[in-house]
Amino acid sequence: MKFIDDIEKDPLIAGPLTAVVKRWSATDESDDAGFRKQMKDYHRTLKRRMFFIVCCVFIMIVTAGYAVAYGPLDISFADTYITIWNHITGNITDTGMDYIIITVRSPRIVAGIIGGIGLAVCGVVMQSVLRNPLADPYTTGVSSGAGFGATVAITFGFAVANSYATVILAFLFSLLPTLSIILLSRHKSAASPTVMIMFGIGLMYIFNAFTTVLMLWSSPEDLAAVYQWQVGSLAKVDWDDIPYMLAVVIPGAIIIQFLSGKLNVLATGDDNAKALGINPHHMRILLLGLTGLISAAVVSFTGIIGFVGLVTPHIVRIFIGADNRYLIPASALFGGMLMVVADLLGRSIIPDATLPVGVVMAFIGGPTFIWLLLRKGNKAW
Amino acid sequence: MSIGELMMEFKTLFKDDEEVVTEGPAEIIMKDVSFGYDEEPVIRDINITINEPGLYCIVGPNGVGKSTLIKCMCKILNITSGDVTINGRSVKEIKHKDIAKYIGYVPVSTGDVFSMSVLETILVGCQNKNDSDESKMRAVYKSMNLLNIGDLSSKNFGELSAGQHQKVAIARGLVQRPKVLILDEPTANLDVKYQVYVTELLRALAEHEKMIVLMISHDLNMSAKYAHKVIMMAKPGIIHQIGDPEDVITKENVEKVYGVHCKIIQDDDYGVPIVILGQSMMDEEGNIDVDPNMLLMEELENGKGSREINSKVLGRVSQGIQGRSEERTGEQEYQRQMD
Repeated sequence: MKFIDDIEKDPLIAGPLTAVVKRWSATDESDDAGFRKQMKDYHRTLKRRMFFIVCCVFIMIVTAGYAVAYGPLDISFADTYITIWNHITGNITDTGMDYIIITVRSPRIVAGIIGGIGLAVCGVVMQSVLRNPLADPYTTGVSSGAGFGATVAITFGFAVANSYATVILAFLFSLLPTLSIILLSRHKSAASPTVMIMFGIGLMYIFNAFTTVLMLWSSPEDLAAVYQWQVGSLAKVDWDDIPYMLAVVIPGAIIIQFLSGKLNVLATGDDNAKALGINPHHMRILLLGLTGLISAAVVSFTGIIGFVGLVTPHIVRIFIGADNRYLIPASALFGGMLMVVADLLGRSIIPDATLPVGVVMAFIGGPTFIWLLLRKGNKAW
Repeated sequence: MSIGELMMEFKTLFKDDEEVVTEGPAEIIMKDVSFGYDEEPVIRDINITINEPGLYCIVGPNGVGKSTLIKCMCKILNITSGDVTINGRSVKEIKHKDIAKYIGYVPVSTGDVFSMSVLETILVGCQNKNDSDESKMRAVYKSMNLLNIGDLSSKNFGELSAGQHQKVAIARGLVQRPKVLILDEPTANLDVKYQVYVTELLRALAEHEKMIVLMISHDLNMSAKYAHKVIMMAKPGIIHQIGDPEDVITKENVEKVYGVHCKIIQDDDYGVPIVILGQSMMDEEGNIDVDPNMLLMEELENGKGSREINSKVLGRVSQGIQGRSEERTGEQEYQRQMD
C-alpha cells in the first residue's frame, strides 16, 4: 500500500500501535514508573559492582600488609604499616626494620600486584577481542615466546654475562607472537579472531619445541635455572625492576580502560562494530598490541605465571557481568589481589619451603573456578 | 594499509569528529555496484536509488546476495566496483563512525560469546552519542518498550531465546534513532504474531518518523502487505525488479525468480496481492536447482505437461481457502468421483 503520511490514517496500522510509535517518537523527558524502576535496578547493579571492586582493594591491602609482616623474622601487623608509612614520609626510625620490610619483602608484593593487574587486564581484553573464552597470554603465544627468550639467555650463558639479559631476551621474544599476529592480519584471510588465536597456539607449540631442544642440550645447572624461570615466581623481582613494569602496565591498563566501551562493541562482532562506527580490524590491532606489551612486561620479569590471565576474567564475569567498562578495572584489582594471596599462601603453606605463585594459584583457583562454573544459577555461561 | 593510515585511524578512535554526514532528507544511491570475494561477483551492476521514506522489503531466493547488498550499502563490505553515495557523498570517503550516526544496521542475530545484560547490550547501540547517561538510559528504555522487552532488561542476553535475541537486536538498531534503518531478516526467529507486529511497527516508524527502513524478508505475503516498495533480487546477484508490491509480486516474477508455481489473488480488505504457493519446479530427474526460466520455456513448448498438473494442484489449494461455497463444490466433486 502507498506511503501514508499520517499513520492514524493507515488502515494497516492498528490504533494501539499508533500510540506506541507516537510515544517512542515524542521527545518528552517525563519519568514514568517503569523508567524509574529501570534506573533503580541499574544503579543497584552498579553499586554491586563497586562493592566487588572495593572488596578486592580491601582484601589486597590487608593481605599485602600481612604478606610483608610474614617471614622468618616476626614483625607485627601494626609495625609493618608504621614502617611503610615512615618510609613514605621519609621519617625512618628503625633502619633494620626498614631494610627488611622495604628492601627485602616489599618488591615481590608490589610486583605481584602489578603483575596480577597486567595479566588480568590482558586476559579480559584478549578474550573479548578474540571472542574466545580460552584466550590469554598463554594461548596467544606470549608466554611461550618469553620462555624461549629466557631459555636462550640462560643456556647460551648471556644471563651470566649480564644480569638483565634474561629479562631483555624474554621481553623481545614475548613480543614476537603478538607482532606476527598483527603483521599477519594485514592479509584479509588471517584477520579473523579464530585464525588469530589458532595462529597464537601454533606459535606456542613452535616456541615450546625450540625451548625443549635447548633444554635437552643444556647443563644440569642451566636446566634447573630454566625450569625455575618457567614455573614463574615473584622472588627474583627487586625494586630496580618495578619501574619498568609500572611504566608499561599502568599506562597500558589506563588506555585500555578508555577503550573499554569500544571493546564492548567489538565483542558483539565485526559487522556490528562497523555498523556502530568502529573499524574492527584496527581496533583489534591496537588492543592486541597493548596487551602484547603489557603481558611481555610482566612475564619477562616474573617468568610464566599461568592461570591469572585466563581465569580471573571468568571469575569476575560471574560476579559482575561481561560489560568491559566494569570488567576491566574489577579484573585488574581481582588479579592483583589473587597474586598477593597466592604468593602469601605459597610462602606459608609448607614450613621452610616456597611454592611458586603459579602453582598455588592453580591448586586453589582451579577447584574454586570449577565450582563456580558448575554451581547452580551460574548466569555467565 | 600503510602505517600512516593506521595512525590516522587510531587517532579517530580517541577523537570525536564533529563532521556530520548529512542533513535533510535521506538519499542512498547505488550505482553500478558489484561486490565479490574472488573473481566471481556475489552481486553485480546494482543500480538502486532510495530517496523517499518508506519500508523497503528486499526479497529473493537464497544466495542471490541480499545480505551482501545491504552490507555494501552501509560499508560493512567494501564494494569492488561502482559507487554508493549517501546524500551525495561516496561511502569510500565517509568513515564508519559517520555512517553509523546516520544508518542503523541490525544483523542476523546471534548470541554473543560473553553476554551482557539486555540493557547493556542495547546501551552499546548508543555508543556514538555524546548524551548524558540518563538520556541514554531513557532512549534504551523507550526502545525496549517499543519491542515489549522491558521486563527482560536485567536478564542476561545469553539466556534469551532466538526470538528475544531478535527483538533485542532490533531495539539496539533503533536506540540511536537513525534516519535509515537496515535490517537483515528481522522476522526470522519470531512467531507469527511478532512477525506481523515487527513488520507493522517498521512500516509505522517509516511513515511517522519519515525514515527509510530496508529489510530482508522471506515472507512474500508480509512484504506484499506492508512494504511501500519491494526490491526483488534474482540469480546471479542482480536486481530483478523494484517497485510497488502489486507490480513486483506477480505470478510471473515469483515463478521466474523463485522457481515455484503460484497463484496470486487480491486481498479483499486492503487490495494487496496474496501469494498462494504451489509446487516447486524441477526437471524430470528431480533436480531442484534448475533455471526456472528454462523450465517455464519447456512447459510452454510442451503446451500441456507438468504445467497442467500444477494448475490442478493450485486449484485445489485455492479452493481450500476460498470459503465454504467452494469447499462444498469440492465435496460434490469428490462425491461425483466416488460415484
